Amino acid sequence: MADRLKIMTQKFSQSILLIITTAWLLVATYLIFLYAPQEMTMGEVQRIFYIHVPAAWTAFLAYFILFGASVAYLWKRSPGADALAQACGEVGFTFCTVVLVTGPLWAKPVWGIWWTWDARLTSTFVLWLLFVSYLMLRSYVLNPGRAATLAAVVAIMGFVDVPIVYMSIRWWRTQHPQPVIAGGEGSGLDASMWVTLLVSWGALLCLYAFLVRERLALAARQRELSALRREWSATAAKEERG
Amino acid sequence: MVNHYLVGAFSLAWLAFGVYAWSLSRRQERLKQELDELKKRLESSGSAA
Repeated sequence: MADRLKIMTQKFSQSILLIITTAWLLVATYLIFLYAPQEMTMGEVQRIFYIHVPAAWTAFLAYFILFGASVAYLWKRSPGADALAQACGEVGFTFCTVVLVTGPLWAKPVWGIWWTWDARLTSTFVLWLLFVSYLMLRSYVLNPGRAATLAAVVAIMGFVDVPIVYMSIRWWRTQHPQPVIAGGEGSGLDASMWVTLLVSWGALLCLYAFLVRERLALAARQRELSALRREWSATAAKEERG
Repeated sequence: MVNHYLVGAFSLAWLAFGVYAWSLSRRQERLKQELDELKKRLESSGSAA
């Protein structure tokens, strides 16, 4: 009874989150295409900024949580921390993919090239490869405990790339533009662009939370299935003996 | 005039999120089926005993 109530509460809160996410995304779309002013030098294509930058920030956040959950897993061996790490790995990979897809589509009309191996682009590509290696390790190592431990170690070691991605445009001269936000004198955004950027990020954060919760529900179901399989094997063995 | 790069960027971004959400729901569905099947088998073996 208590389990059923818990499941119903989770489903209800997830539906509420889905409604909030959808509404927020609609508001963000309105702001991006109808409210934010057209940038003077790049024109319409600059609006890619409102999905590219928030997706990058969300991918960073995902890696931060992946790192924290991996440390917690190695320390406490908690299955919950491992499930959170795996969820952030998958969802973070999706957001990082969006960054790598939208970036070149913005670069081509502005720089004249799709891609260049500068510090920012290369370190972001490395971050994407880290997400890929994390997920591959999880699916190819057959022992679940061993897979979780190895993946946690990879996630912790790979965390060093996150500050490199963030600081790359400050440390090195890059094709990628210098920071517009917190970039010092001469940098900054118009107030309406700020509003649009923050609302877009809020919408992507809601989407992130929704997807992570869905992935956690999947992990809970997988654990339930494993427990039932063990029970089934025990029953079958008992029947064979009897 | 429609900017193809802008349309492409937003379409591909939403496609990526959509594909991931779809893969999650497919995996959920498959697991649910497996769980229901196993529960039924356990129940029937329990009642047979």
